Amino acid sequence: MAEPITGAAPRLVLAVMSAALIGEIIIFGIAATGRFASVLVLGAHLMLVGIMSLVLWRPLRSGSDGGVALLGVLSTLATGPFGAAGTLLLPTLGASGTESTARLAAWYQRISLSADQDEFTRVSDRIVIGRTANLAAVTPAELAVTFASGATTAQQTALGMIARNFHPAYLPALKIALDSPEPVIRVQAAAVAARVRETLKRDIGPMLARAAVPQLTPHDALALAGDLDVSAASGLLEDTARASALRASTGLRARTFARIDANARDPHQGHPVLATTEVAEAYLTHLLETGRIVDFRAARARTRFPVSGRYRRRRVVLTTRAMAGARFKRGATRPPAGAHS
Amino acid sequence: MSNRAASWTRTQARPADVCLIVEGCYPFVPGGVSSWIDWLIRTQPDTSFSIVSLWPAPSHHAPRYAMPPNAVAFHPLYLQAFGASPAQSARRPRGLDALANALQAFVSTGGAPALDTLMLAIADTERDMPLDRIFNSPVAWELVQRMYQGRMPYGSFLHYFWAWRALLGGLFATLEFPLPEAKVYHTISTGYAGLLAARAAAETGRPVIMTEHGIYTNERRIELLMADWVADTIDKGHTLDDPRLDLRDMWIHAFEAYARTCYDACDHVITLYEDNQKVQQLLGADPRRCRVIANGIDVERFGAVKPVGDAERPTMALIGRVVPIKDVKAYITAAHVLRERVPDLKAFILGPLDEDPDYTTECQHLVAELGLGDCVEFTGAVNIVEYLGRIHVVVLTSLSESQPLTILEAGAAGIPFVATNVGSCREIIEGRSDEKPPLGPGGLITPVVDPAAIANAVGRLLEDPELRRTYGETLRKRVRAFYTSERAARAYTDLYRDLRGRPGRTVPTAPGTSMWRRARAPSGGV
Repeated sequence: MAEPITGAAPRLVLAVMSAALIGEIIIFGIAATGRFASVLVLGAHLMLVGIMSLVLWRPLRSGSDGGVALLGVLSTLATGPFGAAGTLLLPTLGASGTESTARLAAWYQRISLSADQDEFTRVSDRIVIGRTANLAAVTPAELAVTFASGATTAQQTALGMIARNFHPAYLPALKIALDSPEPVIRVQAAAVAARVRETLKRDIGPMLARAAVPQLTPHDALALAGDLDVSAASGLLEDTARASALRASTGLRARTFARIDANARDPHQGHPVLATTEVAEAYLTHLLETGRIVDFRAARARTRFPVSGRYRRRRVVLTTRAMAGARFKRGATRPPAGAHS
Repeated sequence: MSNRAASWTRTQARPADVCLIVEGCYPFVPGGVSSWIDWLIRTQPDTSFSIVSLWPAPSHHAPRYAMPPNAVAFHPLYLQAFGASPAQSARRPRGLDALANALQAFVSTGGAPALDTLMLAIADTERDMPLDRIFNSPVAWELVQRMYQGRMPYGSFLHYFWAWRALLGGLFATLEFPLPEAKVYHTISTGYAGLLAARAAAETGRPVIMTEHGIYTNERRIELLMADWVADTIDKGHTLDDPRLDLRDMWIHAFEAYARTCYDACDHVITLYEDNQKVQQLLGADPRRCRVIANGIDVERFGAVKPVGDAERPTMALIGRVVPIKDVKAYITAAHVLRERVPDLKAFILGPLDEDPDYTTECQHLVAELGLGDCVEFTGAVNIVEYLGRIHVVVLTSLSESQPLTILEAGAAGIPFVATNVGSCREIIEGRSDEKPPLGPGGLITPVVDPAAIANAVGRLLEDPELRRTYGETLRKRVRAFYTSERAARAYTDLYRDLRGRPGRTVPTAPGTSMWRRARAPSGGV
């Protein structure tokens, strides 16, 4: 990449303009006394400007930006000491411009995704400009690789992560770990499977009970439906519990979308239910899936989501949070002091 | 106080042949390890034992085992009772820098040399202030700050502080405990028990051995990695190799360091099966000192069982408690799958139902839900010998095991086995790598949490009487050859005899170490 333009030899220009200012003040003073002929004063002025031009000529020829130097010469030629003084003030005014230029260069360096960027900056930039990493697609594949060929400690850490933040997307990786040739990994994977299963089993009852509550807000109802789907898809629930979870999540969604539809048909109602991104996104997806394109367009217009910026960033956060299965709360286990039996 | 409880106050002044160091089990908690300790003491009638039993705090439970006659002394060690009272002192003991560095090094890497350095530093500091006072004084605050800065500066200091207190409280309690005299020290785990054994080796020069059933460090690692009570004070996201240390890492590293110290100090690192040995070596045990001594059973008791006829109803059985770790639901689901293939299948569940009543109810509901009422039978606790003569295949669907005795019992009766690939199941069923001559398989191994694979394996055996007989006979031979109680007891008798007569190693003679030995010696015993 070419060097950014930062002005030609500013120190030289400053020195020349300072000298010119002093010279012009002297000439101006001499003219004010009235003891010299105007021609002589004009000649001295022109000679000073000529010397300035000669001194500044070399930087101008080197191809650097000679804008400030040229402006200085012309303004001094036209207005004498006032022009020189004005030109001297320009670098001060232009300081912020120089800084902006530097920032511009840094920004360009970043968005050009050059190889010397660190990973954090690259991911951050992708998020900011909307080119987000698809975490949902990438993570399970990487875990599978970890369990197939990763270091033992990495596999153990990954199993701990799965235990604490279970998501059904982790199941294929967990199955690889359960069949690991490393006994230490097999044992831990079995412990994780048991824990996840017990957690799901413990949580599913209260979740089903909550799903039957009619006053849930659309946001809470859809979040609960998502959790029920996660549990059902885990493969670790018994048949009846899995069927109940699926039934409950389907019912919750149907109820919630029916309420939103009813609000949409009522001209006196606003659309507070679309106030959260999660609800709006779920509702819009539902309209698309059910082929209600006209309703989709209307609802889409009402939600007025920006197509980039914060909304996109928020989507990344939501996706990450969903991946982490943050809504699963787990009970305490005993501390290690006191050991085993 | 009952007679059983009263007997555990026995303390004999003279040194025992063997000092058993146990943690969190014998004699207050029943279970596999406690039963094994009881078996070990009773099968060595000519050896006297003193027992050091480590607990977090004084136990209010009554002992669950009668004190064996050859157990001459019992010493409880309470890890959390160290430095209970606060001490205000403006005096700064000498050697604090060395102590901080030694502590840092020890909890980071462990190893016998690091323990020696730590003991030396403690001895030096204790010339000015006892350790229990240091632990509760402003000096401790300085220590914790230094260690925090050096070890976990990215994490939460508050969490670090309390973790430090818990971790070092146990460490100091172990290092301050008056060590009973013995000719051999035998620990049954790493952790704090292993640390005490390592200290015994450094302090007395006497032989130290360890018999690990489950791998303590790995159990703690699993607990810690999954625990919700350990706060994650650094957000590492999904990164698996973030080098910053958080509380989980600190705990895990500390237990690994303790394990390394113990393995370093042990003359023999014993476990029950080869897979465990691999884990021990992964944690730092020297392969040259590792050996396997498998548990055994009374073979004659089960050898008299007559095998079930081929014409009898196809029957499988799960022998074990109805608890989640046995994954009884996988067994029931496997029965459901297998009934498609073997319509008149009978599936026994032979074991107590009262340990986890909720889980038992769930299992019973699952049986009803799958329409297996005429197939699956919960018998409760029964005399296994009476049932073995009616069973074609014994099944174990456990998520975790060490060395399950049910395989040995079924094997002694000549019944083939289907087991998940946990603990020593594969080793017992397929034979150890050094088995000479190789006997062949005595059953089939399946992955865990895989009812279809379990059903398929049992189906193969039920449908092929010849294969069943071959496997059953092979398993019988293997159990008789390698898994008898007499064989296991004899191995320990020989080991104790060899070690008791061995002169002590030369104890490190660094000036500080000698001073430490003098300072720590209980009643001039060293």
